[in-house]
Amino acid sequence: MALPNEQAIVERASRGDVAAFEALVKAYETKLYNVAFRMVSDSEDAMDIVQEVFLKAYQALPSFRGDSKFSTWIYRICMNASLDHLRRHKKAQVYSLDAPVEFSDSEAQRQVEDSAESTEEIVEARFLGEKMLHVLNDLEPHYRAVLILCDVQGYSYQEIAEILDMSLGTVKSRIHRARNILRKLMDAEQSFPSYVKQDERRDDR
Amino acid sequence: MTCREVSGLLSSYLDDELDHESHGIVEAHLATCEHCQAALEELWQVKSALQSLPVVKPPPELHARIMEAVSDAPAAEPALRGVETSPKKGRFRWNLSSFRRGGFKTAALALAACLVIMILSSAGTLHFARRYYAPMAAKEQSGVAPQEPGTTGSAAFEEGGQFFKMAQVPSGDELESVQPQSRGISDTELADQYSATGADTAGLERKLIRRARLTLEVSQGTVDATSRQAIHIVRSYQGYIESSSMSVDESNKQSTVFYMTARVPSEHLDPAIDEMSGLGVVTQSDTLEQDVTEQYMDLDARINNKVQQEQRLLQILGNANTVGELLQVEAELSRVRTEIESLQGRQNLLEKSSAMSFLSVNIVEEGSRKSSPSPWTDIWKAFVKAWQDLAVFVAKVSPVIIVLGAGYFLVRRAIAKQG
Ligand SMILES: [Zn+2]
Repeated sequence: MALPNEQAIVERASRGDVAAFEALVKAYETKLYNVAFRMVSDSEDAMDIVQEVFLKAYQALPSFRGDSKFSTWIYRICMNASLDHLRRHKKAQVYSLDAPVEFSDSEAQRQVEDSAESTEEIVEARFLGEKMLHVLNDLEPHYRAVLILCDVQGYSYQEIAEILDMSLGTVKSRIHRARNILRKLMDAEQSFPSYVKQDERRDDR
Repeated sequence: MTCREVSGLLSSYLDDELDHESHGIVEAHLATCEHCQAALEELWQVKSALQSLPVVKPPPELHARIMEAVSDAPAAEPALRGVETSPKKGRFRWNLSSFRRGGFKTAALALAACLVIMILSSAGTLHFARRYYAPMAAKEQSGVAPQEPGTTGSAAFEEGGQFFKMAQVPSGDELESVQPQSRGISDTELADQYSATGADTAGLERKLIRRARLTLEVSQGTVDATSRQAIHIVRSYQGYIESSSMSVDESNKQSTVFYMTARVPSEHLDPAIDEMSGLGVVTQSDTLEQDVTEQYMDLDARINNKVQQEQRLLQILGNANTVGELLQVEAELSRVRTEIESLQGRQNLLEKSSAMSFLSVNIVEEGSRKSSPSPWTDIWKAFVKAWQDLAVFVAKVSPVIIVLGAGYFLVRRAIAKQG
């Protein structure tokens, strides 16, 4: 997609050609960073994930057989790394007494949100899309993943099925459910008496 | 096909992932069913909001970091894992060792002090927690351990005092100033990228969906009367009420809360808000704007396409020679017309949403706005506060303990001398 003769480049990279691999990095780093960033909503974490993804890809490339497209393959590594990151950090960070000052922004927000039983901040949300950024974080990671691939990255159901290693039917129903949940979260944001939320925020900080 | 079956296919329809037959069936149903049209519209709003999320530029150092990790590939893995640290534990350990450095005697004294404190506080902590759970008033961070020079014991506790101070939940300002960096991309940056995505449609008449929110505070007992005035204002601007509710917030001093959602012609939204603002004290007012010009234009283009297709089919129909041909063209024609209708349905909905702005209004009683803070932060604050107080207590009590300890020491020596 991004590279005209990707297959040849992949082949060269898999034989240890660093320059060829760098071409792949250039072609995919922004895309993968965006996927990871939308998944974990933290710039630092997203960088760590993307770095890890390319490192894994570099090491595993010799065993990459080309059964699937390179893009599918590397997206899959990236999604797995992001989901893995979310799994690990859910337990470690939220409500940790040891590091109360060091939670990331999204975590801080989450604590505020949970306590207010709301879905997001209002005051800074000027656009629907920005509002979406916050609401997206409340979506269960596996639902978030299908929507990021489908709507943000524009992949077809078939490609999503390959990336996430699930059946076409599962992709279909997950996307539909995810959109409906997201819609409800957005509506809840809209109709929840906002004075309560504003006060909660002030008190919590 | 029933609405239920169709609604399950709407996302796939929206993503153009249905086979030709199902696609036609859904389309035909949509043309006649407003309910499913609305459902499709909602899904489509979610999709388009996601589609319009800006592409985030990765930090410039990302590329170098990747290449660096790759270039020393075998060695890179442990470095990746080593990133996680636990500074708090380290600090605490350091405290203990400084404790030890002070020599045995002072350590013993401090230990004795500690023991006394612990006995006192084990009964006290609960009391502290309870006392600070509710009010958590202005006494924020007042005196932490006044300086008590000379003894290692109290120095260690001072250290402790600072530790607690550092661990305290940051105040609003601090958190505010931390946020933009940790997010990696600021809100304004996002907003800029946002408006940039719609730049190519500049110059056209913009279709904006506006959603405004207003919170008013009025004096006790006047929520009901004010809400009637607010409804009147909406109607006087040719708007209408979608929903309204009057409720008593039991968790909030039994105060009365009025909430309504209304639709107001977009050109009247601002004056309506202005007028409503005069009914009480405005405590919150904001407007969200969604630019749907592109989506509108997109629908426009698709409708035009289909209309041209319809015209061509009509021409072909006029020149049809056989019955078979005629039937085929007619079937195709009705399919195209159904599609046009459904596209127009969606366009109409957009049109209506941008013509009639959304307005939601909260009216609350004066003095009721102080909602109870979340239990979690409270417990945390109480926890911090209790320990802070403990530090203050230690500092205050330590001279007494030193005197007692010294006295004990002297008495022991005197006894030893006698014996
Ligand atoms: Zn229907």
